[in-house]
Amino acid sequence: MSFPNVDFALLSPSLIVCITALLTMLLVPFLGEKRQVVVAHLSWIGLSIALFAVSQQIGKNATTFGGMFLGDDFSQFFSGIFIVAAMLTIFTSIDYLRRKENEHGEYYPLILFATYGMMVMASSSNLLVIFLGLEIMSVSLYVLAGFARTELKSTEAAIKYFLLGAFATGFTVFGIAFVYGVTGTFDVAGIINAAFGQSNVDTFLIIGSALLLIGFGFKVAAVPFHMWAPDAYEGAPSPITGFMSAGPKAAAFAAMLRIFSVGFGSTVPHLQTLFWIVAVATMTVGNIIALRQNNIKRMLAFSSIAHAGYILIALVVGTGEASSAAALYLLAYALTNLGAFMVIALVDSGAKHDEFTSIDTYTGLARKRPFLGLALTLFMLSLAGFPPTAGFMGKFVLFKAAVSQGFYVLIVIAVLNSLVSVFYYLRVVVKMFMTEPDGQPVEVPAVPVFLMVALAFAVAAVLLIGVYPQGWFNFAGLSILGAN
Amino acid sequence: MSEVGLTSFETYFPIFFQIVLAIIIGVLMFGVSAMLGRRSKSRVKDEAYECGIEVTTDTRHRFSVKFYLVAILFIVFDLETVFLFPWAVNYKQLGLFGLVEMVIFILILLVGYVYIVKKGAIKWD
Amino acid sequence: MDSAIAPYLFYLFSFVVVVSGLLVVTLRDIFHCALFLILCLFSVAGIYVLLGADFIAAVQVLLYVGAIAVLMIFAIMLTAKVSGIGIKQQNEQVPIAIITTVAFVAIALYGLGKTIWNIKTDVAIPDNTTMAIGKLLMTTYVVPFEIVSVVLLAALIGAIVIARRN
Repeated sequence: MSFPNVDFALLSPSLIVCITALLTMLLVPFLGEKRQVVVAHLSWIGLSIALFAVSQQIGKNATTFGGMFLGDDFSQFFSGIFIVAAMLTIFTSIDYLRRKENEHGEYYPLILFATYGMMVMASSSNLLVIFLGLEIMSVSLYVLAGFARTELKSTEAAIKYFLLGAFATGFTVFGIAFVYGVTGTFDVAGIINAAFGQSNVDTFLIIGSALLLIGFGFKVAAVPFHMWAPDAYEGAPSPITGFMSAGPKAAAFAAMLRIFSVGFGSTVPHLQTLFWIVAVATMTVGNIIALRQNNIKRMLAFSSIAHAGYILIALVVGTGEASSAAALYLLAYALTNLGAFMVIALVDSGAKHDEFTSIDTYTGLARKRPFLGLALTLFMLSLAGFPPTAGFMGKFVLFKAAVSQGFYVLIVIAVLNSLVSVFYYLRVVVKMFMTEPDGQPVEVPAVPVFLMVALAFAVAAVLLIGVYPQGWFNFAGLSILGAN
Repeated sequence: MSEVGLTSFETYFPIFFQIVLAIIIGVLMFGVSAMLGRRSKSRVKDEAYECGIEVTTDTRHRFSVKFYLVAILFIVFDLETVFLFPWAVNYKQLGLFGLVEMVIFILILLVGYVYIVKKGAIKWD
Repeated sequence: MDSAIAPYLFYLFSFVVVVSGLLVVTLRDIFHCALFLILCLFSVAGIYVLLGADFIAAVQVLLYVGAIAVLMIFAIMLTAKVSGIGIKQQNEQVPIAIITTVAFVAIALYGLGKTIWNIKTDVAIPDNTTMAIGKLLMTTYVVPFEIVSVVLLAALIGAIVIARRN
């Protein structure tokens, strides 16, 4: 009996996150109600060790467990996104949970479990392992979305997210089963080999790919599988909404890029057309409905749908350059959205319930709190894609990758969409700077230390990527294993 | 690998036989009593028998949420047991490596067990 | 199961699966639905036996028929005012649902005829699959195996957090 070789160094980032989650989970019931915040601090310390471990593995591009677990730069890059997203979310949450009187330590290990699941998703080209990672991530997020148990909207968010998410999981499993049935393997490289050998691609491989597209489409909230997103985003606790829009979206796209773009997507006919339609529908529907939203969390939910549409361009193009561009886009989007949700969580935490989430709450905010106003303005500009922000750089790199392959119509539609999006992003800015609050202005709490650190980091990162992207990113493309 | 030397049909025949028998008995009991029994409906017949107690509430009670928690915990640990079987039948061949794998598997779930015990999720009051 | 009656058993089990499955989604008493779901899951176990997948069949009975069905019945009993009274199982989306389902079945059937399945016929099916599954689980599939325990743990903790008393 042969046992697989184990390269523990390659596994170390995800192992550290998992072990931190286990230990903090163990600690939760032993801490008193007053000392649950200890769990938060242990969690971010564990995450920063994991981030260091990631930095040590960059450039190794190795595999372990017989190719079941990949440690290429693609997966390290995404692991970095997930870890940073989790850390920023934890920093945002410490004060938020205290103010909402919802300090239960389980919150932080659940974030860590979700992060572990995402790292697993991004670190394998085996459909079985990707699926298990997806499940860990989803189960943790369903619970986190409903973490504010006393809030009706939070419970609604959890139920809607869970029911539709579980339904989508069914499609994913069905798709995996079909693909496995035709090719006899779970491994993406093996699937390509099996598919290439035949003169015409099997119908069941096409059906299986379509089912996988539906399953992942739900997770990234692509039209027409986006229905859950607005309610789930609105009802979930604000820091978790930020986390949901940053981490899981990036994880689902990482898996999709690996399965379709560098994987067997090109061997399946018509899939590119399908992606084209879904991408255009997603960005257009997301942007147009976002125009009419009055709740800032709901607005950013539709904005997140629109951004999923832009990122889907990478799947249409399908080149390695486009995949790397999508990775940069996801990093930029994650940092920007997390930053925006830091401000939203702070404003939201001014009230015990969720009455401070309408856009009207932000009336005159910039006059009273200029730094908060400027930070949120920066994030809104980045989401809209203005230079010199990360959002602009992400769009620029991605659109360039598409234009170089001749997708002109697609890019024209995407640019028009970006123009439309400027209206609703700037609406918030206008509200903050140019309007006088009528009646009692909203009391926004002082910025706590950890949130200050996180906010400063997000602002700096968004500007840095916008001004000097080369330092962060190799434009020639991340090396991706598991592809021929 | 057939240790008993039976074909699979012979292996499953007792189970199949049992299912058929159960169906026959069930149908017989209902059928015979429906055919032979006399039916008479009256108000007296619907009353509680002799020293029986008058019904005060609906038959369908609402159960406590604790039952549900216990059932969920049962499923999780039931699943764990399912994973033990394939390991157990290969125990000798897998040796130390297999043991380590299983210990890791169980330790991870043990974290959950400690959590629920400490949290009082399986305490009944 | 290499016997003359195996095909008949297959059609018997399939018939029960389809009929009980339809009853699950059409009956008005949710408790009856749950009972038919048990019958449906049990018949699926029968099909697994016919396929020679004895371990999967045992797991199906142990987990789905045994544990998950009980959990569902608990869930029904926990919820006030749902058992014993008729529940509307249909809404205005029935036509769309039927169209989608029929379309999917049609495409799947079309594909079924056209696909060359990558099935190895020269491999003998072991009489006892538990051993073979165990070996694969502990060697080739050790990564998924260990990750499964994390999935279970996350589900466990999630259930407690959701059901906790404040």
